[in-house]
Amino acid sequence: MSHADHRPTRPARRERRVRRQRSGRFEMTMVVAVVLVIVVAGALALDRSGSWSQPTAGPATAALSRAAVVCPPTGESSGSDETATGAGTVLAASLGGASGDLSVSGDGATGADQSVSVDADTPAEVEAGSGSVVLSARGDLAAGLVAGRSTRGPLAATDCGAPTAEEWFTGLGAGAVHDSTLDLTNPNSGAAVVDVTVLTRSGEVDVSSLRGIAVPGGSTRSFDLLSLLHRRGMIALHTVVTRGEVVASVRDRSTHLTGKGGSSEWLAGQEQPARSNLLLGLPDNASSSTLTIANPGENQVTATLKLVTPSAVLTPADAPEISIAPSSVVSVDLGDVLSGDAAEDAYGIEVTGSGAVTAALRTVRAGDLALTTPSAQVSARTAVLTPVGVGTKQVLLAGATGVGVVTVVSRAADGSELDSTKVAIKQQQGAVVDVPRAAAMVEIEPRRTRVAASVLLAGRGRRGAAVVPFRELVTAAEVPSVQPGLVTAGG
Amino acid sequence: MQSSVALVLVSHDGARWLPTVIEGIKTQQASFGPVIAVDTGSKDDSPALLEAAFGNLTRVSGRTSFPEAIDLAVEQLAPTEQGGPEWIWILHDDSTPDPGALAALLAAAQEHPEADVLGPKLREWPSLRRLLEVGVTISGTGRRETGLERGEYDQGQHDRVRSVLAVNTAGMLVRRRVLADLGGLDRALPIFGNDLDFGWRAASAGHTTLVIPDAVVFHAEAAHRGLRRTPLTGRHTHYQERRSALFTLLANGSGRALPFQLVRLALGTLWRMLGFLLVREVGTALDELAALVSVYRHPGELRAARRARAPYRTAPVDQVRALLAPRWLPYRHGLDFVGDVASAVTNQAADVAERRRSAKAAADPASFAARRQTALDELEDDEVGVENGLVVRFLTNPVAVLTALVVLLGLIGARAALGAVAGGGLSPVPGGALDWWRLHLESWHAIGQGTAVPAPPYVLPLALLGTLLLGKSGLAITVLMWLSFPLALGGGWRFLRVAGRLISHRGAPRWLIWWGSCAYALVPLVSGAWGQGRFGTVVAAALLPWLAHAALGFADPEADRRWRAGWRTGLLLALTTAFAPTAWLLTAALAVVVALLAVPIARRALRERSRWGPPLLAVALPLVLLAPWWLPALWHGAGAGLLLDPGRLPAPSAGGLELVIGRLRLDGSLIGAPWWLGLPVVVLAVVALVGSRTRIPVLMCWLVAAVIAVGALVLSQLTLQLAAGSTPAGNAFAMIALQGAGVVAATLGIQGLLLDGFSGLRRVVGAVLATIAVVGVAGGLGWFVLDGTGDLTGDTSTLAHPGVPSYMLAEATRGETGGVLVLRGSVEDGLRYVVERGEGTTLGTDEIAATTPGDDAMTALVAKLAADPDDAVVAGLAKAGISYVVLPSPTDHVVAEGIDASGGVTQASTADPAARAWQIDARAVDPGLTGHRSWPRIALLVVQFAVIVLALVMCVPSLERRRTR
Repeated sequence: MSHADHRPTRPARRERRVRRQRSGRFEMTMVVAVVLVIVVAGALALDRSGSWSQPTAGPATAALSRAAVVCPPTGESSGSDETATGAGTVLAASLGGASGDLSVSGDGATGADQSVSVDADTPAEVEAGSGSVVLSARGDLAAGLVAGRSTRGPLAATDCGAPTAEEWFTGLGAGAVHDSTLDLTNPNSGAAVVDVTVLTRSGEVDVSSLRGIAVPGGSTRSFDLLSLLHRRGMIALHTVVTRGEVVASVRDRSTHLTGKGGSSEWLAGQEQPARSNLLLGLPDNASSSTLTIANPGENQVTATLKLVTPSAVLTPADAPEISIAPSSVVSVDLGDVLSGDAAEDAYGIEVTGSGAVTAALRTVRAGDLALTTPSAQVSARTAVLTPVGVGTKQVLLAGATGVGVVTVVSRAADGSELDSTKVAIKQQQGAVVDVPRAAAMVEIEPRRTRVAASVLLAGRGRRGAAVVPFRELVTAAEVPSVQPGLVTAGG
Repeated sequence: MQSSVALVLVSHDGARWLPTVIEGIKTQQASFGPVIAVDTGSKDDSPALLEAAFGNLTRVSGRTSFPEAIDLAVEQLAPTEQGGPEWIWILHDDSTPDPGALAALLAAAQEHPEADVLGPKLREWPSLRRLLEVGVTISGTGRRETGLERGEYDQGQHDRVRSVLAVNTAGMLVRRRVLADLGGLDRALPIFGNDLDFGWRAASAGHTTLVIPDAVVFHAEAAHRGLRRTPLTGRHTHYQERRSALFTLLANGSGRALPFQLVRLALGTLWRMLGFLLVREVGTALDELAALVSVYRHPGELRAARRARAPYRTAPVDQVRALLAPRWLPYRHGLDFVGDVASAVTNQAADVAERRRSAKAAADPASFAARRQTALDELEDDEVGVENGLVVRFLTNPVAVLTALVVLLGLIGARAALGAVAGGGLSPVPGGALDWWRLHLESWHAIGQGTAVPAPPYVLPLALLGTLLLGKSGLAITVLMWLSFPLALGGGWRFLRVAGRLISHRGAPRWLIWWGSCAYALVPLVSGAWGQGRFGTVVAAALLPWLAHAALGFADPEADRRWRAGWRTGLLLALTTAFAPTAWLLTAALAVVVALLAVPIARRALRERSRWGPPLLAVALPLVLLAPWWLPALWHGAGAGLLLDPGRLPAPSAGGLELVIGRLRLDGSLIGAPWWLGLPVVVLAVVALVGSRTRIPVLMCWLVAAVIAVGALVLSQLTLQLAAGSTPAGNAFAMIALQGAGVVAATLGIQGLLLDGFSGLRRVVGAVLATIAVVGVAGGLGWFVLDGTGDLTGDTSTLAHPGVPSYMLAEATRGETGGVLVLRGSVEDGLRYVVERGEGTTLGTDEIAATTPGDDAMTALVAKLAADPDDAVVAGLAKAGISYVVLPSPTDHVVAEGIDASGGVTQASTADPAARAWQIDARAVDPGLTGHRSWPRIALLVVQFAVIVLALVMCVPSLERRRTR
């Protein structure tokens, strides 16, 4: 410390010496200092510490190992037709190429342990009552399980749907002449809960009895809208399954106030509202055609109509521009549009909204009701089971996303192939394929394109019509990646 | 008429005292009969001296016990009927009688014919004035009670003839018949305590023992004090004394109280051992234990002794008990001891404080201590000044006021820690400290599907702290989180004060030390570690300055202090490592670098073992102390835990930039105070290099920083793969250490600049630096007070099991084995599961759960549940000890629908309507959560506790060997 404490008054010579010493030390320590600073700075500059990471892994795909479809109840038998039965006909098949037993349950099952054996690609008739019929498949049968239900007198047919998380039903009625019934079927043993929202032309209606509907395992709950709502005009329903699995279906009924009897038909649902809705299947000689459009969004939507013909999608000259208020339903009479010249060979309409909408076309032909709902696009082989011996059967194809080929195969009730037709389709251009009357199962298999398709059934004479859209079959299941995690949701 | 007396003198290596003793015997005023001298194998002049004095001498081997020697002597006497002596007067070779001793005893014997045993007043030899014994008795704990104060002078205050339990054999006059009837002294008690036993036996047989204060014998107590070693005493006199005390108590006590006495003495021995250990009398503590074991190991001897005494027990029990020490006496001794210690500590503290104050005043005339001293001195010269109260002294000391203010603000900022606290990385505490003990001690935890991964090392300190706080685990965390700031502040102050003396003998100015300690103590707070609940970082930061201070002791000139520094540093390093596992690695790296640099500089000094030993000890000690953690962690595949900072994942991390500014990064963004408040320390640490006067000490800080920075760089290259994800190695300690090095460098640099003085431009630079420094501290503290709470919350109820309704776990804690399977995520991005059991994930179990290797069987089962649940999967879950399945929101409806569709489950209610839960219908089965025990780990735990006790004892300053008398 002695040299550090010196004062300038000390002798100059000593000071110089001290300064020399100091400068020597100065340089050496300065060099060390610079080196150390560089080491610290360098080490820290290279230090790129990572952070907690938890890789996400997408699901793997595996063959579906269990599946269930629900054929909706037929409701009361109309009883007016000689061929009509209360239960109608339930057909089931598996496109997976496997054969085995399907278990049959639900209100429509005839016994506790009822089962039906199916062979590959062969429709099997299921003995059933008028209640809903649950068909469950395990193992190889699960992939490609299809079923259909139909009644005659007048003609009605539907595809038996698989459980979905939500469903839209448009164009329902809750009045004396036009009434609908919502059926909720729980195919599993655990309980399920469903929330139903009701849209009318004047907006959303709160119906407390349709909120939080508990559907006990293996049962069906039915709701007659007339008794719940009792109002005129078209309505739309939105079902959301909050617990468990449920298949929702709707029976629509038209009653002649003056005449005798009436007609009923199943209304296929629509999974999601869409900007473009392709409704394929316009029965000939319709006495009335009413298009109902629901706007579930919060903004006003304007919808336009186009006619789908085999050669083009046209905008008819007198096509109305339909404006739909938020959360409401509008119905339009399309009688004029569909009877015009432009509609000569039209077999479908396309409803395009400025926002996502749902739509359904309600046609009355010779006193029988037919309901046309949007056909979802399919990309792989699928099938619709149809009643045998109906007047005419047509497969209507449209909405192709590209240039491709669709093979239409018809099979008889014994599984034998009746007909196989390949048609080329492309965007804006569809096709109509006639199917033999004896066909019990109609398959389509698109190649290189996705396509929307329906089967139009038309009875002879006054026997009515029905439209059954094809749906994409679920053949594979997504197997989520499962790994250990943390206590918290973090990361 | 005088009774006939024979004198028995037993000697062993007593040549030092014998001439005086023989002189004392020869000058007795009373006449006595034969003198029987017995020598037990002396190796000095004793036999010759005795032979010269008394003519006859019986020589026996050195292994002959005192009772045997007495028996031998008495055998040589003619029977009383044949004219033999009626009385025996026993003397030791280190006890010399006053000339009137025998006369007084004989006179008393005549006066009190009922007396069969008479003893003199024993005074200390060679002081001759101090009282040793005036009769003696024994307490319930086996303590020899004299009823005297230690070192009490004889002023005649005890001169009263009274009946006592026993008298010392030195100077004991005993009726020969009684001695023979009672079988002499007990041979089981070779040297010590046979007088007490004899007296007790005599009292039980109805004989009277009197102490005659008029008779005086001076006694050197050579054997007791260890001045003389015989083959019988050996080196362990305490062992012999304690053994005989235990034997005496157990052989003579009442039969009914024997079981109670056995337990009491065993527990008492453990208690006394603890006391001896605390004052580093390890040998005495071991003697204590050995004595107990020796007595308890031979129940046969005790039984024989009790059988032999049984026929003599004729006196009423109450009569004997009256002679024993009162029952409350041991407790009063305990109370006295506590009082003594308390007063000694306060006196010593006052002394030390006074000495320090004087030393400080002498070293630094500018300090407050010196100024106060001067003021007092001046006052004393002129007039009697008014002694200022504590408050006035406090208020007139600006640094004290400022420090108090900072501590107060820090405590206010840490208000979230008051009461229950959890959040961020801090899990809720378990129910009590007992849970921590269990966690630390058990080799297999019922966490997840059961795991052998050991509890993290901080659980033991938490358990100890929680136990001290009466088992309140919540209070332990409150104490840690709330008081860590003042603890770090105090440690920083202490370290910087010493470091400042490296620059100048006056040390750094107090305000500079104040700045440095504040800047350091704020690091864990402003870095965001506190608010993120990173208690490990917080505690490690509070311990680091104390650790550094302890390590300065390696430079102490005294070897003893260097070793103590080694133990202290090792213990503190182990504690720091327990809360920040990378601390050991970085410190060891630093030690290696310092050693490499020190070898060429101080080669000669390093040859001494006490130079290189203590640092080596300090580095090695944590390895032993933490062995029950790191060894099992390695062999159970949880090695990642050795590099993981404590707390719940995901943990914040710090890259190079964060290390510089002292912040942590979580989820990609910096947490803690604004980043620019971290710049002052960096700027000042760099500027510190400019001053040439302080460059060398500042360079040492930079060297430490360089080692830490390189160490952190190496650690940053490691990514720890855990079952639930990957995380970087913990580097919170690197951040704390770097910031600490920066603060020390800055403080030393500023101190150097101050010594150089301020003039011209330097004045401006100084002002700028001062402003920067103050802004850093004031800004950081202000931020902490306003916004420091971070993620911590007092609502800890759901944090142990987020997303899981409490009732499910409550059911599990009621003794069912069932756990709750929690599934998060979606089919799209993958699902993650965790199994919650017991109280959920509480403090101490996070690391176990995080580092336990994945359970493939369980993962496969859960995957099946998520993809395709059926009855078999649900049954499998029950077998895996799962009672509930929970999908916290947002739930994946596909998974939920799948579970809904499966049989064997019932919907369960959840508080969150968007969440889903199911109860498994089958009863959960224990999948092997309990019952495992690992003996190797138990062995490690035993070693751990033993080394902790050893280290604590070795950390305590050396005491002068305690003298009991």
